Amino acid sequence: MVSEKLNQDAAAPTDAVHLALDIGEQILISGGEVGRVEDTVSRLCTAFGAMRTDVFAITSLIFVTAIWEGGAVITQSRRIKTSEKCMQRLELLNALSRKICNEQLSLSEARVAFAEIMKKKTSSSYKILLGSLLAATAFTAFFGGDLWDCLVAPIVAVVIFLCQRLTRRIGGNRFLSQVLCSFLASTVATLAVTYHLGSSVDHVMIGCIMLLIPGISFTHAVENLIIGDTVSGLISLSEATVVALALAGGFALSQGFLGGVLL
Amino acid sequence: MTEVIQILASFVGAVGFAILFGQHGRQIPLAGVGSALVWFFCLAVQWCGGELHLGVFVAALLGSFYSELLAELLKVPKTVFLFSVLISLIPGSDLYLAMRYAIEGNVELFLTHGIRTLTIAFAIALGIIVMVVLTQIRRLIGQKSRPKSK
Repeated sequence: MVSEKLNQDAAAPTDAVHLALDIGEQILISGGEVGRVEDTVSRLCTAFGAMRTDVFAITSLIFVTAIWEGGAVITQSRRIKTSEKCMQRLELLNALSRKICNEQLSLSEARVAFAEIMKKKTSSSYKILLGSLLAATAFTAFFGGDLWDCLVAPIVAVVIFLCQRLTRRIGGNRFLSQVLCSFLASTVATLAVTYHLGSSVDHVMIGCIMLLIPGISFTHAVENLIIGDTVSGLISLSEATVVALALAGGFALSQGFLGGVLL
Repeated sequence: MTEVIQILASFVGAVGFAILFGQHGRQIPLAGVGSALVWFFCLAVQWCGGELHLGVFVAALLGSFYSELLAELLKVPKTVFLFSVLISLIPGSDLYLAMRYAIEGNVELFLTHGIRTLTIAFAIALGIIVMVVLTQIRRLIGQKSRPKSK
């Protein structure tokens, strides 16, 4: 099974596991499923010459033990703290891992190819802004907002975009940044409706809240639970609930705040 | 009329999310078309007298099939398309309304929308998973019919 070229490379099992974890980590961060990560890391280790690989991954940790011929046992783990959906990167990483398994690239070649992928930037901010504008406006219309609501939605989307950028740069607590996003978004939406620019705060907020994504993580969490990635499912489910709570908190704050100011 | 707006909006919305999720090139309009189809089928099931959750399940199943098909054609992982194609099914409005009623202290409506958020998410997830299993079965059959291709 294993080519001779790889057997020469197998002098460095630690490095091989390290690279497999690097790739697995980035797949997880870019939005790959837990199952895919486990599968990829395991295949990569095998391709680099491991006899047996056991991988356990959840959304915040990858843990791998690989046994090499000759008895070397290597265990490494990786803590994952961020998540930044980028399908293009996922696609490239997936193609790379296939290439490593099928064409049996050597370890150093694989590392170069990996570095090449990581050099490519994830979505630029103008793309994110464009996406947010389109998504927020379209979903406001989708959930029954009228023309005026669709005019307010892009404004709120810009507010959310700026707020997310700012809080990401500061890098503070995620819960508080969600509260802030939701607070600003609902304040702007409510003000716009109060001054007769939009006609329904609810419709604008529903459209824009799609951007803050708890709905997607909810669905993803339930999917994980059914598939049998129970731990990941529970983690995402609680994370999604916390995000929903944060959004609710921000919304409540802004209603209280504006209620005091406007009345 | 509402339906036409919704189908159009789910096209544009999915295009937006496709850009947000870092898809590129022709994947973006393809995701939009998928999303519009998904919403059309979700409505169609309800026109035929089906229940909302059944509609969501059928639409999620078809949406996963569409993602699987494109993934195979374009040689990318299925996840690339899955969530932008299914975006219009995601229970965003119920989630929002649930927390809104929670704030207002309206327990009854909170429960109604909260439970619907969960059940719709469940219906979508079930659709995705049934498709995964169907694909596995198909691959199994494919392997058996030509055992020594590699």
